[in-house]
Amino acid sequence: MGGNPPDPRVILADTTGPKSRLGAPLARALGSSLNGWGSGVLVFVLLGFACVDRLSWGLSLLPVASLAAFLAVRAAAEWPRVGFPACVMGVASFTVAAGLFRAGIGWTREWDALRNAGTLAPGAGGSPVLGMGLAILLGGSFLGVLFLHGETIWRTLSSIRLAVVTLAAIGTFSVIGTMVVQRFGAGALPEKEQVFVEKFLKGQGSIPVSARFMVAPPARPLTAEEQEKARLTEEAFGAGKGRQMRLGLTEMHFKAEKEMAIDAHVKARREHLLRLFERLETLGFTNVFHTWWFNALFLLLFTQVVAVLAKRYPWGWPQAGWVMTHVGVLTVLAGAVISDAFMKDGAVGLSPRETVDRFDEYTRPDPTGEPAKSPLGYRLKMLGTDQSFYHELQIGFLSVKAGDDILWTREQLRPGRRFGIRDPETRASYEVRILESHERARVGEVMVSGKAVGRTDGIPVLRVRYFADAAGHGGEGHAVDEGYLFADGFYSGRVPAYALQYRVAATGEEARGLLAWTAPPGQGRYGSLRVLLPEAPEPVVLPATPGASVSATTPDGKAWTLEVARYHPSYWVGKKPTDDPPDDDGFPEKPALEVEVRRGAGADGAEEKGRMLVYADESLQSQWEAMARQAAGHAGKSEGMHGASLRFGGGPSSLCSYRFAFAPPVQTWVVEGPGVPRTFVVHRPGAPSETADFSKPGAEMALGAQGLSVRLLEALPDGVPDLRIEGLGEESDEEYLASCLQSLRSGVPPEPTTAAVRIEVREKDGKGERTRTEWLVAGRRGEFQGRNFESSDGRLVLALSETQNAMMFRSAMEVQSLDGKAIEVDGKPVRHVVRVNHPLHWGGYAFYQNSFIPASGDGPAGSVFRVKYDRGIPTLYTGFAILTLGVCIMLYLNPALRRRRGGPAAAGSAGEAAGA
Amino acid sequence: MPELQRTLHLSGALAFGLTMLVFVAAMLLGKHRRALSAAGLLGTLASLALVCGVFGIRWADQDQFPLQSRYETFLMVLIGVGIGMLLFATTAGLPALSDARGGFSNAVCAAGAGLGLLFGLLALREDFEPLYRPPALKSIWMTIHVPCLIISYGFLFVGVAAALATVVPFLRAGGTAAQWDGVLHHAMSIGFPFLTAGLLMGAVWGQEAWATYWGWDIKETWAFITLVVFLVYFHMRMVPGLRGLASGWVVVVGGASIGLTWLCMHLLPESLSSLHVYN
Repeated sequence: MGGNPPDPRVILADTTGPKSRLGAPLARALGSSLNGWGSGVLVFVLLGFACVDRLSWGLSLLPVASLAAFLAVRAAAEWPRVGFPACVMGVASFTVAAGLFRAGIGWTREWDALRNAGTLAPGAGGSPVLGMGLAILLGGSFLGVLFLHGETIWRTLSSIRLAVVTLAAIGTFSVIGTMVVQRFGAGALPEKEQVFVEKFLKGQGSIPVSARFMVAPPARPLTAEEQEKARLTEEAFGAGKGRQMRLGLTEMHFKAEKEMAIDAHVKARREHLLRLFERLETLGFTNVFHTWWFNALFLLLFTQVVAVLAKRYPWGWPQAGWVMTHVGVLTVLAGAVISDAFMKDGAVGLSPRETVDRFDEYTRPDPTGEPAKSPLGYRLKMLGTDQSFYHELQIGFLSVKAGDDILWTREQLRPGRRFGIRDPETRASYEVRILESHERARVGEVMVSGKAVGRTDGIPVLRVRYFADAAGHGGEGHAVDEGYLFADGFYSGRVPAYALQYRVAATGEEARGLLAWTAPPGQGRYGSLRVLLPEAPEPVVLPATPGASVSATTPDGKAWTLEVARYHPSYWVGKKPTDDPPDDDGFPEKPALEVEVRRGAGADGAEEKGRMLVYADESLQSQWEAMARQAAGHAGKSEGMHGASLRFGGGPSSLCSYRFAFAPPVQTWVVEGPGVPRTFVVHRPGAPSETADFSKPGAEMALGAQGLSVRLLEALPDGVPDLRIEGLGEESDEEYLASCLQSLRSGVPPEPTTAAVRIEVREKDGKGERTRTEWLVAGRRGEFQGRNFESSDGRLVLALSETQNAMMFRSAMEVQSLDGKAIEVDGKPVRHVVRVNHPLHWGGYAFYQNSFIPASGDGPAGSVFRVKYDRGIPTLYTGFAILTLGVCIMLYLNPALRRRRGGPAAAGSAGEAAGA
Repeated sequence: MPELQRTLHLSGALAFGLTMLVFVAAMLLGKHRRALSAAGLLGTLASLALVCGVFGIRWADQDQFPLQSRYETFLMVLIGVGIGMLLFATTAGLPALSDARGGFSNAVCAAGAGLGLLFGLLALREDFEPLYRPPALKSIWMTIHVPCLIISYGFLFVGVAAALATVVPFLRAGGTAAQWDGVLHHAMSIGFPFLTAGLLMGAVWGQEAWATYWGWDIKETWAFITLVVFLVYFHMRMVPGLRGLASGWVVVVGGASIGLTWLCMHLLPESLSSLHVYN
């Protein structure tokens, strides 16, 4: 439609309509019932919300009540002329609207929360039922009047001027909502009143200070120390890093100064700000977006869009874009209302292996103000959760001071990145190039021949593999372990070190001696035990044979007797030890002795006694002894330890310290030396040693215990450790799920990975130039040893370290039915990895990864999820799509079509009203 | 890479500065306007290429789409402004016109180029180091929602400049407000759908990431306010008598609103708790 817009009065008065396609009666009926809807909604807005917010009750009721009374009288007079079907439709729509609005719209939720938190007087807002009733009554009475005077009201509602006013009002109040600190900002939950007041004071008070700082930023000079630090950084790491440091320090100063200025300002103007707070509270500006009048504006907008759509009905094809846009607006608003009406919002926290079938619903606080526990209707199980951080390269000169710190900088891990470093003191220069970097890598240490990698510090090491159920030599049993056997007794695998030891003799004589070894006389069947009595200068030694005993006297004159009561090959706290005689061929997992300690008082003959458990593993034993001493200390006298170990540590036994040097009765060794080829030898007590050749890789010997046999895979006389690093890409969700399930089943945590980076460093100093390629590995406590790069002169260190920047949080979840069985869809259990931007949707609820709680002394790691039940989303999204499409059609398609149709003349009128 | 970025940044700012001078000359000298405005367009192309260069190198350096920090959004706005300027100049051919409209069109382009020169000053406070991407920003929406909004700012900049011509008699320089209103509407029509789509995409992304499609977060609210201002403009011009001057002023207000949304948001108290603040 070009030219002047037609006079709306003409259109409305003519109810038959010039372009009516569906017939005049329908158009008329549609027109009249829309009257009722629009007006009813309006009335409810004014009254219904007044019931919710006490502040506006008085303000809104009086004028509306008087207007309603006048109209009611008019309606009564006009009753015979009102059409019955329209009334029914009108009242029905009022009721639906009233129900929706009262049925838990978000605008009441926060006020409920405030009431529960004790910050609003209870009962504020009057009776909602009364409000609803009044709304229905008065809305119904409007109907009659509108059939008489509907045109005026209709015309006003669909007028563009009113649209402009409504939009401007919405915009203005939104601006206020951003200028004033809001109570429920950014979807936050209600806070205690005092917390909010402080937040308000600081926030409002900061505005003039921020403005001042922006317009006239104060000079932010760096201290001399900081200048020096920046200068050194620039000299050592380049102009870019120097600038970064200067900017960072300047920014720090600026922020600190601004904070101080804000605090000072707030303190000085506290009274004024508090008065401002009160004024803004009364007006409702501290919670603009949830006041009834702000939301009423949206309802007015809704009504106006309905009005204008009805006014221009029937719609022609040229108006398609315009219709779509406005229908889109209606759909979006409707979606928002549906969403708020049925919204359930809350949170739930879980740790791995835990299941939960209800969540904390913040939108439904119970009488104490705490969130109610709402059932989900199904169970949610957490299979695993973790968090990872980005890693960075930290580069530093450990002995160069820069300000209050050493001279160092950081660099991001990007393959191909290269940068130069210069030592400010020695003028040595380094060029570093990152060849490859992996945030996730499998790091393993292997032993390789020192000769092959140019190192001379190798030690003898054997790589062996253990088999179970071997059917004799060469039989391919089932491999249970593989590891490195070192000459100093260390074995890198899981089979206990006692199973097999590697002895390398320095001389031929020593080697032969080892082959013909017998246990020394003082040694007991299981080794020897040393006990240090209180204040004794030297420990008492006794053979670790059950039944062996020894007596001693302490300097204070007391007579002590120590007896080896029993030997346990595998003592587990809490498990009852077996009464079977220990299998000396077997592998003791945790060898321990029970030692009986008796202390005589001397003259009066009273004897105290107690028993102590002594582990061969020194770290276990020191923990054990510390517990005993603590228990003794607390009680004043030795009461022994609690729990399953109640029978140990009592009496005088907790006063001593012990060391059990375990030596298995059956010693199995691999011996080699000058002139003596590698030989497998078994020493049994009281029997001649058995030997066999073990010099060639592939040699296999039965260990006689638990059906195990050992095969020699590789013998390195000069083994040195070398890193085998396999870069893994980002773990996909399927892989993560699989590894969580695996570790749940086996109880073994998943294989740890860490970050690794391969760098090439070219050093250039007074002594020449050399290039090195090395791997750097990020250390992780308890799992990985970090590996750093050190320059030849030891001054420069490059290390891989974890930053504070989170890379990812995720949780592997499984949906189960209430009785604990996994729910299956298409035969596959419902499992999902929840990450930020990847929520889990099930049963109408959506679970969003909100935060991660790292494992600590208080418990295992866990994740907190935001739980949302929102029925309005499909409507909203549909509305978005329709709206966007409509706008594009109106502003892109229509002018193009017009130009094509109208030719050059139409192009000149490109500035026309859109979609008219 | 940071050094290369800095060099390109400064070259881009210089190119914008020279382009600005060319456009100012085109504005003042009506006789050589055609040639000068063509030269200005070439200058715009060159500056745009340099800014795209900074953007591309930053992308390659970080291995992720660079739209996180304020500096990076400025880059994208400049790209939007540059494209807007090019489209504005080539579709209606205004800068080459010998009358007052040509004069002001060149002024508009000069202002855009001036913005690019201002961008050069940012080099003083930017260290060009790469950033870590927080988990919340790891989404396909990063490459759709943010560019959409920022490109809309670029187009709407042209609209705001045209609105200034509509309302300020001195800038109008002989043309009528109604003539400029046509130009204004043309510019607004291009930019407004991007603004709408960008805002709504933000709601969809918000629902995926934070479980709220609309939380009256300060950045969201200001984007909404900007949308409302331009909505008011579109409706006002349909009222006889309000087209032209009044609606032009509304667009100027909208321009201020864009500025607030983009740059000054962090001054407002609510920004402390905004979900949109990452570093």
